[in-house]
Amino acid sequence: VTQSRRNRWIMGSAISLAALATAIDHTHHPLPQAVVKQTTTEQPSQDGVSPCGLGGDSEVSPCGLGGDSEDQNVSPCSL
Amino acid sequence: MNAVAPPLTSDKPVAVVTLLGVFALSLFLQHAFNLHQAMVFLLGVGLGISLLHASFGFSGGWRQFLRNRHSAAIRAHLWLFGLTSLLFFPVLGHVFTGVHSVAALAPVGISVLVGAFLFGIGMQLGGGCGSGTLYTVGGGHVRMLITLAFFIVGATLGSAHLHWWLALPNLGDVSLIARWGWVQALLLQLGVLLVLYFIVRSLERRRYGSLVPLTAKTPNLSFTDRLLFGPWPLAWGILALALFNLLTLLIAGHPWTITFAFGLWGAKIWTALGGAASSLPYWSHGYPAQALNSSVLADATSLMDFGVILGAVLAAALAGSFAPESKFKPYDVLTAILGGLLLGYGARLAFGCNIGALLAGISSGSLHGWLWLVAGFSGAWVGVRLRILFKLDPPLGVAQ
Repeated sequence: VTQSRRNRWIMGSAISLAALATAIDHTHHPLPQAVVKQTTTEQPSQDGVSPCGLGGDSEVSPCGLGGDSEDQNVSPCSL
Repeated sequence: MNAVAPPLTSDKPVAVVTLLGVFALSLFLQHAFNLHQAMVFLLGVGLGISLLHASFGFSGGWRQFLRNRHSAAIRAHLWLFGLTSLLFFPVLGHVFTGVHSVAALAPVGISVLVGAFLFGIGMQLGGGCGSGTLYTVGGGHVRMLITLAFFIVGATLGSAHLHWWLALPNLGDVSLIARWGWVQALLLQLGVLLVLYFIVRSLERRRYGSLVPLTAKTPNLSFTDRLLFGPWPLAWGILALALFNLLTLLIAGHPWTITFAFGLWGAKIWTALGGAASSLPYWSHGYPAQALNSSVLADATSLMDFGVILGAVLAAALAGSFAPESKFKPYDVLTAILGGLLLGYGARLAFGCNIGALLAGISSGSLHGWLWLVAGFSGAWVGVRLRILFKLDPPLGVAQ
């Protein structure tokens, strides 16, 4: 029981520390600054396209390489 | 009629606090960003609950097969690959006009080969894969915190070296859907998965004379209790993970991915400590640069990772298994560190982990996912033997 309680404290501390770090990072950036382009969430309703996807111009999606090629579309999948 | 066993005693304080935290963060994301960010986070929560309740891991399952020919976990993985392929291929083949989702494509080359091999070793030494590390951390396993910390270090190191690895020979992106069309590619892929399924199935049956069914349920619980408190049979895990993967593809616009966030967190910490992560090629342009210079809550991968951890905390609390007692063996810390480093570095080189490269790659019809499977499994074979060397496991042939 003591060891389990110690583990709970360790886990609680780790999660609290992560939450604090996230809050510090978040407040260091201007808002709102979603990585998903505003246009990709708004455009679909204008164009009759589903709001689900990121659209073809997924330069700001994490599903690509983001490698050396400047013109390469990137997204987080393969990052 | 079988008697229905009562569920384990839930850890109510942890469950309530976690539930409130999930609710509060969802509202905050909706307010500070948009509904999309909140939904992406909640998808992660759903995945975390599913992973923990079904104990759906890759490293332990592969080890069970390599050591003892127990194939239940691998059969579950193959089912998951097949089901997600069935769901993804029509979407990525543009059958549904108006749905724009991108596939997880990456170059088929040396970086994937080396990266997945290292990852395979790391997942055995570290005790978890990409998804496994997250959900076991959520489950309160302290050793996995060490693995996760060095996973982050490894991913950050990998991002610093990636440009060098990318310069090595590769075939570029190879999409089976683009080459053959989604129907033919799907049939081919399902055929290969079926062959693999029967191979692993026959290997287990040859040794034991029978198979552990994927629908095995222990203990005996009512449907509602099992759904809320677990444990789930593997079949439930397959269905839930396939469903959440499809929702991720449709809502996030790309398949589920995990390890980009680890490198991002590492780069942010490095920057906070005075480093110049943004000067590295990987972090200097495209999505990585934008993610580095934005709030971590703007990154969909980070949100899903947070969701998986919190979902697993919630599920473990409901199951009454949060933060279990753990006994550290002499080499535990060393192997957690080494495993974490290999996991992170390997994932970066291989364009993702067992989720972002293996599951997402195969489900997207990308050849790099298949290369990842071969290299990762080979690495796991080495890792299983290294575990014996480090006295984490008994020699082969001796029961664990």
